[in-house]
Amino acid sequence: MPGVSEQTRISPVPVSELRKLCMPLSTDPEPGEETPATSIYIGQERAINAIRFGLHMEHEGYNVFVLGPLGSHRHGLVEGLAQEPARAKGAPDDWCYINNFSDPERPRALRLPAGKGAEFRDDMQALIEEIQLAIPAAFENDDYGNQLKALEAETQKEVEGLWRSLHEQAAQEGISLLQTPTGYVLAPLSDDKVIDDKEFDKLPEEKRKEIKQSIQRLSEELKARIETMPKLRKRHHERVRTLDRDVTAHAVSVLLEDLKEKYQALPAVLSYLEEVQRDIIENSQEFRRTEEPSLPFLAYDSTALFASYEVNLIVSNESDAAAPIIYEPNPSYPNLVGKVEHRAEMGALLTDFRLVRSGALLQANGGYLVLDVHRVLSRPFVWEALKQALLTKEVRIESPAETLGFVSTTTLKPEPIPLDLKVLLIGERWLYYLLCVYDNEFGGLFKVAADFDDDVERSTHNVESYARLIAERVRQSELLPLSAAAIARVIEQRARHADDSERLSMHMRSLDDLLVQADYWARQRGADQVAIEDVIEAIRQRDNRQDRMQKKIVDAIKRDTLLVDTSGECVGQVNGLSVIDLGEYRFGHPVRITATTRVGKGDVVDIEREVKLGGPIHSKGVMILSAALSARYAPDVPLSLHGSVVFEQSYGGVEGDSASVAELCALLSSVASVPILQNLAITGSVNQLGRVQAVGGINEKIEGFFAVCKERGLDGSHAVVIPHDNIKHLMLREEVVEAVHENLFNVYAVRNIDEAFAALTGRRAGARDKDGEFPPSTLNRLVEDKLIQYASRRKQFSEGASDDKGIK
Amino acid sequence: MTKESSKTRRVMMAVTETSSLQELWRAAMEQLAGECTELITVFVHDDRWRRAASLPFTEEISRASGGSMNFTLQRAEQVDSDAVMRTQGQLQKLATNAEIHLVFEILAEHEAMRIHELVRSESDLLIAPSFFKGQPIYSELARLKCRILLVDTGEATAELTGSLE
Repeated sequence: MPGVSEQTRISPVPVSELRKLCMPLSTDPEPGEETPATSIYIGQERAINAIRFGLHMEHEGYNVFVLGPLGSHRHGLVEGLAQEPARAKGAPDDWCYINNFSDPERPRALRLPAGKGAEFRDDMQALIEEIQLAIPAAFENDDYGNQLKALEAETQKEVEGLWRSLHEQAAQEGISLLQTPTGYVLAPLSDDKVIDDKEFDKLPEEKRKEIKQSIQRLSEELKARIETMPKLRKRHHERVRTLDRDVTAHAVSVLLEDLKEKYQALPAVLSYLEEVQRDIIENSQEFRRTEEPSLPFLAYDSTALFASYEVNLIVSNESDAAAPIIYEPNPSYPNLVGKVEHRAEMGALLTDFRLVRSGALLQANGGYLVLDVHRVLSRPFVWEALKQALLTKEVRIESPAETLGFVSTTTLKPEPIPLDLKVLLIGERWLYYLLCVYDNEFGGLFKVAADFDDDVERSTHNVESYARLIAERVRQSELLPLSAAAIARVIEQRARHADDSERLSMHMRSLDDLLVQADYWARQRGADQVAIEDVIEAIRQRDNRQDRMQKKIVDAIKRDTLLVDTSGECVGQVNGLSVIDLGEYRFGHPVRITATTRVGKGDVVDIEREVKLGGPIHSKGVMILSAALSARYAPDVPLSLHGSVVFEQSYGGVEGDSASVAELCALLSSVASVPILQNLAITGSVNQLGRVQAVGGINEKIEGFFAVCKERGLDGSHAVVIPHDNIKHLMLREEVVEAVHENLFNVYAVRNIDEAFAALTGRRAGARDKDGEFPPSTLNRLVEDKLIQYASRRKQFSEGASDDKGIK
Repeated sequence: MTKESSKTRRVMMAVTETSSLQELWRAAMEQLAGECTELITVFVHDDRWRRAASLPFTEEISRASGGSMNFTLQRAEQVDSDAVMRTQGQLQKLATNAEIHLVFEILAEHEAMRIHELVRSESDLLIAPSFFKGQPIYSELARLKCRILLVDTGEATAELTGSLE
């Protein structure tokens, strides 16, 4: 390559280092070898041990937070690991909500052994059906009818006796007791006929007085009897009620006898059955209500009365089952805590204990609850509700609006249910650390952190395990089997995904995507096995689907809209490399960086920072390179330079320090007036001592420059200079590797700024001799001489300015 | 109650506000026996309310509260009118159910002579409550050319039973 001559003594990175290949692998297990459930989680021993620890630890607060990237199949592992302790624990108790007869707004919780809940619910339903038949039958019985008639006759006789005596008394005194629609009138009679005023006036004074006195006396008697009537009526109703109770009690006690015997080992159930019995007896008259209402919608609904004896089974377990392992994919407040539903009736919303619904907390009670933490945190009130439940160890089913006091209407307050479960939160690391910092209660509730590795070492053992993992995923997804070469190619792609040739990505979702897409292309060509070509096609097609922006940038460079030279040389101008991350896809492209210098006060201006387009890390990189510049050259004189660096034609933000080597080389080129070769691009960060450090996205950056050079025609002069520490991360695409193999393209690795500057200029950097001087004509000598010259000029300028001041 | 064997041309039924309609109606239906579909009812109301109200000391004692208030002529007319309307309503309901045409006549006690205008022939039948025998109107009924069927309606019991509620 022109410029990177033997003078610089920098060798290109060997082709074998550009892409670490994987030898074809067989996925056939050894004879007799078993595949444990956790074997597919290669290199995750730390996380697995942590989860196991959390699952088995019975003490308070040992809930588990499983940290790791999305798509790492943590759910499968967590649920798989929970199986064994769940079996050991066995099924937890059932829970029901039952009517609270003394306070219906506060339904009571009833605990029953596993499997008994459904049985008890069915028994109560059967009881209700029997009551519906037995109680009316008891009241239709002749015995009851006769007793009721006897009571009525007794009362009637008493009433009639009272009125008859009054009638008789009135008749004896010649007075008639007349009945109006609303009352009574006492009128004097003469020959069985009511006399009028004229007839009355004709009567002797004595007789008139006597009639008036009789009427007065009879009026008092009448009023006394009227007052007696409600008392008689009340007494009669009490007698009837007592009779009804006796009849009901007899019918119910017969029906409940069997149930009480069946549940005699469960005192809470027995107590409830006693309450049911008392309530039925108390409401005995309601069971036989037959009168028609005045309006149809006022019709008495006897089902509501019977419904109060129903059992709302909210948690039901099989007696021989394992403890529940519940994953709630949508942990909204009602789905997690539970809710009280309402039914619309005549325009009003009504509810009762039967409409209490359990959430995931109760479904998992006695077992394990798996939740995605980002979903928990993004749904209103859920995080607080979860913590509240864990702290109080009980589930209180109420709406958030009620909790916050936003609702003033009457609703239910179901009795809280004791909670004993293990919560396993699955989330990304940043969420875990944020919660640790900002939530004081978090640490006490989630004491176990199971940290999933993003990637694992690419050791021989792990590669073999990974091949088996691929085979397992293929089997689970019912995909076509992969050839040994295809598996090897997938493993190479996993190293590429890990951004490291020596590690393998454990991001399972992207692995599954690749396998599924390779399967698709294999089926497209009618194959019964996925070949390496199918894997490559899957990768190529995926890139094609997503590289629109990359193509636009390359096209803009090709058409000189974005100015990037790939030939010639220029002072103070270098090709840097940047990466654009689009989430599922990222790519690199070259960007022109320029620097200008002149005499100044020793400052380097980062134009990106000045206009607030530079991020803090980028600004830090520029400051470091300024420090490296002042530390390396002319240490005995003040740095009298004013320099500025900028990403040309960059209109968005710039972040990261991976261009700091390029920026320093551009500055040095400007200071020394030594041109930089434009057929090269460089990436890397630099420290204050001039050491070149590794950067991210190295493969995409190399491929980005390669794509531009390829468009303009590769001639063997083009190359990318990378930090030496990045060699281990190289997993370049096949076409780049082939181009290098054919001497059409190159990759150079440098360790320090001297090597980088030398590589970019094709000249020797030069090292200080025993007198502390750089050899003549070397890059460093040119830079140092220029800086001393700047210092001298600045001094002269300062002295001249003082003289001028003195004259004045 | 006696079953009338001879053929009737018109059936009339005399009622008062205190007579039980049930027994009278049953007797009337038996006598009609599908021969005609018209029943003439005569509401005979005595003037006991007016008479009682004419006395200055007469009071009405409320069944609900036991309180008393003057029983005025206006109130007497209201009670009378209510009784007529109530009886007519009950009879109309029975007639509708029986699918017969009902003629409702009101006969004041002092208009007893008008009963002769309603009776046309000897074959007509008048059904009346048995307690009419003790009433002044019975003297007019006894002079009618038609046959009379007296029915025991048990008024006294009905009045006492009503007092219970």
